[in-house]
Amino acid sequence: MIVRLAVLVLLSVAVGGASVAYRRRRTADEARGAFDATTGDALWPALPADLQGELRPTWLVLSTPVCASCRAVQAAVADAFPHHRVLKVDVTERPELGDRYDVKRAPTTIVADATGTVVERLVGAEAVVSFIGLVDDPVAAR
Amino acid sequence: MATSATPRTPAPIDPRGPRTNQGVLAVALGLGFVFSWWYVVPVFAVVLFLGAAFGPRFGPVIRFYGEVIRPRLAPPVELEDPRPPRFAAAVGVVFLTAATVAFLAGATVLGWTLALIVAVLAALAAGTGICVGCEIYLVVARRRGVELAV
Repeated sequence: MIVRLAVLVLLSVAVGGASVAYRRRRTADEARGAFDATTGDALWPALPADLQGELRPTWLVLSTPVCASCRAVQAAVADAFPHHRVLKVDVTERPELGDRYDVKRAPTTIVADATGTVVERLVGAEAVVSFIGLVDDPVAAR
Repeated sequence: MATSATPRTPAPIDPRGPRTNQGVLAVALGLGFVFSWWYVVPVFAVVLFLGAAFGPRFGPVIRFYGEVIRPRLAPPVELEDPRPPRFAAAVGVVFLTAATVAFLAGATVLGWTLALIVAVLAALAAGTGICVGCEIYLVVARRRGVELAV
């Protein structure tokens, strides 16, 4: 029974510690406005000034030199939304964009409205394909 | 194939209901482990099964939360789709059933290992809202194009 109690205490400390750490991080994120207060969705900073413009929605496909599917994603978006602007940017050339949108996988695709406000962040090629299938107009969907 | 009995998008629920369920489950399994009450495992397999198979209204703990605790609390800040936690409970049922079989077969260590996996995941879900079973449901649902209520 002592051994079992010890196992339980260890497990409780592990889970309790993880819970407290998670809550702290989450509270800190919320405090700096990284999450929408009502929906809990992550909020991302607007497109940098040099990538904004032309008064139309922008798709920013963040790629790497070895990303095979990024070109396909860019083509699929351009095909589905011919009136939108589609930019493919290599994050190794613009590392600050990788930080700004927390890119861990290529392609990470940022969808922004005409004012540069980010409405969607899609990780992976499949996410973009299913997102294109889900919405008629991603900017009007929000 | 949508019928009136099983709407495509079920009514959202107070997320604190499943959280209570997970908390009680974690505590009960933990106590059972320390005091070698292995029958806690099949009892909670049944408790989870009722909610998972027939809906939150039939889950004893969720029902208790809804009728006794919830009226005393402020209304929930947000609601959630009942299907992810229901799927998670079904995963719990599978684990706890397997644990019960292990106990009956005399494999006590295996039984408690399976039960404690459920206890840790339930405690994590109750404490943080990170619900591993729900995430599995969401991945599958997204692949199949299921529309979520919230």
